[in-house]
Amino acid sequence: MKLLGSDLIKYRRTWVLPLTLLGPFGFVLMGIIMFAMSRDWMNTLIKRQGPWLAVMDNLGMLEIAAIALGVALLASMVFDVEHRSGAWKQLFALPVSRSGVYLTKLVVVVGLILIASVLASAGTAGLWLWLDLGALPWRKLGLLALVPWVAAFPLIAFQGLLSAHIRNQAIALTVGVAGTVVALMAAKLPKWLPWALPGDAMTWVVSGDGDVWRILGLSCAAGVALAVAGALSFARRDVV
Amino acid sequence: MGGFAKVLRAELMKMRWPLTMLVLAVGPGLALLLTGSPKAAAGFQGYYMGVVTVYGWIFYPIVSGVFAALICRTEHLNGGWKQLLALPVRRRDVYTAKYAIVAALLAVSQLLVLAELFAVSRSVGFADVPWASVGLGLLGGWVAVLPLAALQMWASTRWRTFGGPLALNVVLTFPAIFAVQSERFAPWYPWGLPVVGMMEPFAGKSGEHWFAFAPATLLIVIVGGLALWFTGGLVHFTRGDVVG
Repeated sequence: MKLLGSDLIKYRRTWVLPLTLLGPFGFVLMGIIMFAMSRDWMNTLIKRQGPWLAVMDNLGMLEIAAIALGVALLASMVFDVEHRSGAWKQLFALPVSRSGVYLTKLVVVVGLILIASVLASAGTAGLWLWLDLGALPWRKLGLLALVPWVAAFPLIAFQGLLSAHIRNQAIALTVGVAGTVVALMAAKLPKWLPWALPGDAMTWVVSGDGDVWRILGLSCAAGVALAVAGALSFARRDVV
Repeated sequence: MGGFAKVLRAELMKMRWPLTMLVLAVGPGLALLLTGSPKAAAGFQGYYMGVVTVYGWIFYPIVSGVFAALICRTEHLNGGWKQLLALPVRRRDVYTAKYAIVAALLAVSQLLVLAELFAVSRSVGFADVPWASVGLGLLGGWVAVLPLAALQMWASTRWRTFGGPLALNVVLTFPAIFAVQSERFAPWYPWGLPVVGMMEPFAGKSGEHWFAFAPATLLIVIVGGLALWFTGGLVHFTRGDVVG
């Protein structure tokens, strides 16, 4: 808990929190623009597919991309704070556990992505009311906030690993952007890629296709395994 | 110009070339891997559109920010700006040289895509590839990315972090997903224009325009954006305090 508290103080006056809030805000704004621009077409879709599918077919893809890019940026920022100021040496001179520091930073990213995805769901609810689509689908909105977030655990652990181990953030961020493009463009991703799970999760939330327990189980297992592997290897490294 | 050439040479020496090459290779690599089999595509045009969608829509605008952040990295580390600007160099030259390198790298990226298209066409045996249109499209995409690179240079020289400028770029590039699909917004949204430029010669409108863009888009959005952001960044850099 102390680690978490002292870690959070470091992000005051940085882009970390604004970005977390800006993400969902932009997401909702784009939803509004999308509907405002093609209201007639959306109405046709709503009649044909039902409101949930019509709204989420487009927004779901957008949210996946937002999560993937947001994870890359946030993971890079929380580790770069230490790289940039050469603070690792000072930090590790204190009686703190190295792997504890590493895992704390991952927990921070996990928390920030949770905030962002809850806000995105709330924004979707707002969009729903604004469009007058009927009673709010509470359960689906709740699942929208939580399932893709859990499915992002392996991605968070992976981007954290890159950002922590490679000082130059260009690499982690380029990988993150390239991965997002892969997630958006490839219809069928190889299952072992960390970008595949949030997409599968979103497909389940939107249309009910797929096995949600498998997705959740795999995400937690792979996320924890990657996080622990990263923490162990980070704890053994020389501080630069 | 003697001063400028020296500064440019020094900047080129400071570059981390292996890393830069790696970043450069990602775009064409994505295009090659994700576009799918060229044999399945509807002729060369279908394949080209696939490549441009994968590479130009999100990746190319964002990578302009990666290059801009990379070129400022040496100076942001350990007070490099102060050391550099304590030398008898003009700040104007430093800024322009850095921007020129970013622009050149973005051009190299387009050339790599051209090479990829050429190699694929050769191996598949596409007949009658309209290379003039391909060249025009890639040139148009490059011209459209120049203003974005100028804004990214501005942000990268002001903010010490790598993530900040890139976050800005990502947030601004995102709406391009929708903007490009809209007839009304596509010509006006700067972050969507690189892909618009690359698609235009094949979108059946090439007869209407003398270049990859309508004159209004080119003059107002691209040239105007470039002038505004480049001048803004340059003035801020030459007059402003040194950061870090």
